[in-house]
Amino acid sequence: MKKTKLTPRRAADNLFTYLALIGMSVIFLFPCLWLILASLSKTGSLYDFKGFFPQEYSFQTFIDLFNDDVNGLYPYKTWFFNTLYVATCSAFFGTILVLLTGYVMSRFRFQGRNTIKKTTLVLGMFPGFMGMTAIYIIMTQLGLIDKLESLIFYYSATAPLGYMVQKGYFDSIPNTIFEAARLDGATNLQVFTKVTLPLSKSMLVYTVLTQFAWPWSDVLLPKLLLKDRNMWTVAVGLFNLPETHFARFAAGSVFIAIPIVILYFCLVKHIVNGLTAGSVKG
Amino acid sequence: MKKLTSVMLVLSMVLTLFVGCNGNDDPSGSVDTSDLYNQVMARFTGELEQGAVVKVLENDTAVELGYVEQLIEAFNEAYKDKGISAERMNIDQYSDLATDGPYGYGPDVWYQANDILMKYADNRHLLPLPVYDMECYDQIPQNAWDAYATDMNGEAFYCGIPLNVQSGMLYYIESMLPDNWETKWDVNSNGTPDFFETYTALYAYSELCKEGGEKTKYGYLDETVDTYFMSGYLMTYGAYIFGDNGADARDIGLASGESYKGARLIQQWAGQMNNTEILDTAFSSAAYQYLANGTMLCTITTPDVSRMFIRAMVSTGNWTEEEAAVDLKMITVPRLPISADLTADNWQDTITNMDELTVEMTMMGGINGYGISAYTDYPNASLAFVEFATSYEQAVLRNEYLGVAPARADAAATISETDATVGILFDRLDRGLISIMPAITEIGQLWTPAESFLIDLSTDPYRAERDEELMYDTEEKIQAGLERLVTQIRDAIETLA
Amino acid sequence: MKQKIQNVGHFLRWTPWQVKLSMLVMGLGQLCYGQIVKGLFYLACFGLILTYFITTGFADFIGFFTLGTNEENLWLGIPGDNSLTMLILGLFSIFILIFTVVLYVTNVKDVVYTARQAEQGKPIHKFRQTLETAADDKFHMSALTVPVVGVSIFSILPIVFMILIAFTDLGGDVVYPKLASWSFSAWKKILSLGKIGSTFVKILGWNIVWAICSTALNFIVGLGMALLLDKRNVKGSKFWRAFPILAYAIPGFISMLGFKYMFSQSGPINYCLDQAGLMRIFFLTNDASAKWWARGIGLFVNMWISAPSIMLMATGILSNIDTSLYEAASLDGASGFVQFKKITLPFVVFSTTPVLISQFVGNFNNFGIFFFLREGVISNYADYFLASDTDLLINWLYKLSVDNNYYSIGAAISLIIFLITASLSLMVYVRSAAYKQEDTFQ
Repeated sequence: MKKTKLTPRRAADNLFTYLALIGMSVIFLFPCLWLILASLSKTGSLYDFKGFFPQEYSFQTFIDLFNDDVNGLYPYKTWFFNTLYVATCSAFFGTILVLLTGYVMSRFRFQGRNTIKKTTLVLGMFPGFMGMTAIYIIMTQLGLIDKLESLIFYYSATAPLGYMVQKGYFDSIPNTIFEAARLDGATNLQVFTKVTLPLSKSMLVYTVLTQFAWPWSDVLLPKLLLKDRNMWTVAVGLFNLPETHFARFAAGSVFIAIPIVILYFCLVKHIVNGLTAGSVKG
Repeated sequence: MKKLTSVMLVLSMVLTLFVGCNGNDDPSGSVDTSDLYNQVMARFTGELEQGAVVKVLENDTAVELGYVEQLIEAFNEAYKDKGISAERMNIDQYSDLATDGPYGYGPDVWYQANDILMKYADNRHLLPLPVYDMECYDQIPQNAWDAYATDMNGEAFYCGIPLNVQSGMLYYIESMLPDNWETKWDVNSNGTPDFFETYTALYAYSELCKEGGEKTKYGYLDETVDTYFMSGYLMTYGAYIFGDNGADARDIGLASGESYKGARLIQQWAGQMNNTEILDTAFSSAAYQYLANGTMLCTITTPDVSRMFIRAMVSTGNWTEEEAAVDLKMITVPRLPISADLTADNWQDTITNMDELTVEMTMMGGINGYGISAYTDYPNASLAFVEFATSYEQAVLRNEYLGVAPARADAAATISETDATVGILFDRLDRGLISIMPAITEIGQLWTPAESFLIDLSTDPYRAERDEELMYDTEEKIQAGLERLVTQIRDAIETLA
Repeated sequence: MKQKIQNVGHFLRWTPWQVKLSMLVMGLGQLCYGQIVKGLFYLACFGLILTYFITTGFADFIGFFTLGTNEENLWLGIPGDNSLTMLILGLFSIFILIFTVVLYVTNVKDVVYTARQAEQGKPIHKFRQTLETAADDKFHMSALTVPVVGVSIFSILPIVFMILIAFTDLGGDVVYPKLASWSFSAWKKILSLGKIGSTFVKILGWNIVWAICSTALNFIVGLGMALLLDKRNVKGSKFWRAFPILAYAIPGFISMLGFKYMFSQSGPINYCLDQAGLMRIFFLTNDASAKWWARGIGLFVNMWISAPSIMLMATGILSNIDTSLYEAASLDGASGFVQFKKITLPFVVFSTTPVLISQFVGNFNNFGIFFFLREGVISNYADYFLASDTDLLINWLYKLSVDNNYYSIGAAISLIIFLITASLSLMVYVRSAAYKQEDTFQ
């Protein structure tokens, strides 16, 4: 292997590159670090800090997060399991629905396909929360207010609207594979389950991950649909923590951020594939 | 046979008429109630709905400190044989009764501040209550009742029972007082530090603190942009919010009288404090730490947050909880100078000639109380709960747990034997020094324009430092600013109508 | 037209009695042909729909047009109508009506198909065959049923509902229990009244600037990071990549609230400024000087949250570029920068055009960023009506509708937003290379 000579130009380039890298890392790491420090603060108030650093450190807030729900006001444990439930179910149903939709839109040509394409585009342009009053009333008629199932219904039912990414991925699978399967006598259903899905591991992972992650950060809709504090998701609960409980907020955030971050790290490759699928290959 | 039947029918009808007439006699006998009143109150038959579970929505602090749990248990104990019970609703304390109520997701009984409750009363989401029959009716001053008054067909109906009165009080920590205050700062030797008696003296002391050498870094710090507390300055000099005792939204009186003098005082304080943190409403959250760690000597806020101060004091490690409760003190707000200038008079003179040079400060206040939702299935059970919760015993207990002042004269009298501040608040309420927040929906349009104005007003001293143009350096400009504020509020009310 | 009538007449005359039965009562025809399960299914649907219309559907339908006739008076115990509920129930009944028509048509088509089969002597499909068709020929139909129904109820219905509200006078004084009615009052208020109109124009201007700047900034930073990590002299790129991914993984509102506290008046950054002897800066507070600080911080925080995903996407796309192109270019003597401009950039832009467009629309309607960063701030100093100087149209919309119950004006404004974003993006999308090539791609 030919070793490249270290000219001054190269050295400057190296220096500049690494400076940029360090700068980038600091910018992205620093706020997270601050939140972690804040969650370890002993007093729990934001105004007790010496600048960015708490006066004293302790793990007490984390313990309190789970054990002390302040007379039922901040039951973090319940919130966590609520959100886990909603995220898992909506990931399951939502993935099935959006994969089916993406696949159908990719592989089939049928009457009404263009209508669906245009409608989806148009629907995506409406501000998200505009329909919230309507959703609220619909849910009251269905008797689903203050129940987690309302969220699962909503997330799963509206998941297919994001089918473009999945479609892009399926578009990239060569036609020949499908033709071969059909020649072998497979029905369309079998083609989907036995041929397409095994080939789409990346897309599957990406879809499940994005569906799973969304309920953890959605605030507005659950705030509207869930009334009782014991029914709240983590996002609503954290959002409703008053400023005087800042350490609790930080601790709660850190706690849910950690598993999500770990998940993302492990699945980066699939995420990249998924994101690229939304683009067009020239 | 037919004839007999018809005669019997007529007889029975006539008899019922008589019975009905007798029944219309007012049982209390003290107030003449109209037909409309009787019609509206018809649901309150006094018969408790069997098996009713009254859903109670209380405020978060009361829940946090365990008071609500005690209340519910006591009620359930007392009414265990009568077939009704209560439970706490674990939802956000600011329930939107208008959207949740009709679908059955709202509370039956709700404890909140009068402006929030009355917002819903306008559109009849709250029930008017048979107050004349209630045992607390005579104990509560009329201006507290007025906080919950609403009008239908020209008649006044009360949609809530006042339970607590809130207004600004001055907080300080006794051990942070300067050691020599009894000799240097008690000119009239009445046992109260002079800088807590008049604002001029407080200004002088705060200036001293800035020079250094005192126990605290600043004297008086407060956010000068909070409409609730700062409106007191305007009101003492002749302003009012809505005319006709808070009922007429067309008459906005923030620029009337000599309110510009009050505005100038706010500006003076903002300049004196020399700390831009006071220009942000988030300061109120920081205030607990700042008092506890000696950044400031005193601040003005409502009595219901005394626990937050104690918690902050304990967290500094310098006090135990008992020590903190003893060391934290509340006192009535100082008097304002008639000259409307904190530097004009000699502070000693304001103490010796208090009545000639100063005037008591009017402050905005609120009345917290209970309301009953119009969507409740159990009006009688709910009324029973409300009567229980506003009784003498519960009012005293509430003060014990939370430190809030009751609006009932008897409870106030008992508590003020041990805790003078309660007596002070009740006394101020009685004498009209507490201007109760108007209960009409239009009050919602007051806050943001007023806050903008206060921010601009208070930022002026800092603009000078940054070499920017001053906005409110003359009295004319301040008056113009106030009038502009009135126009903005009026526009907002009219646009949204 | 006459031909159509003739066709219909011919159709009615030709078809056997089973078809006519199905046209009367859905499912009867199928039953007569021996398709028990399918027939029962259609019959059951027919029964349900009929019950629905008889019990509430018809009343709801009428209610849609009247929006309530009795005003409720809870104090006197007089029950009444709730306009909002009537609007949505009426809308729902219209949807059911449409659905019934569709179902009816499929029913008739199905029976006709079976009739033809019978006529030609072919075996009539039993349920099993129906299932098989669903899994094979009609796979696209069966697969799309649940998504379409779900989206209709939870997405299309609410949006149509909100569009309709723009044409009522709901809001302000006219809230439950008062009754609403159809009117153009909301539009009149927007187009005529000085306050609302002038605020709208100001906010629209900032909104467009924001959408362009934030999309561009995110794209440049994301692409820049991807290129940086792609450089040959970077060792351990996976390690460096971890930091942006960290920012990407953290739920958005947490980051935004964290930044809000960080930049607050009593927060860490101002504290450090104070310690350094400088004056505290109004970053996000309600002051005129905070206007550009808050906007800048909004751009920065948005970049912090969104650039990593662009970086990841760019990484994937860059790996698709044929490296031989670069080799050829350097052989031709092109410098690094020229290579970037002529090879990399066009390729990336082409690939990401649809994504960029959706990013633009997303940023235009980026509710969260200014909602969490500057909650409750209203800039009266500049005569904004119920909005802050950093609010986007959608934030203003929220303050109007939810905080002040001003539904009809909010709905009207959201319609306007939609028209703007839809036309802008459709214009760009249709002209983009990606769209033109889409169908030739496969």
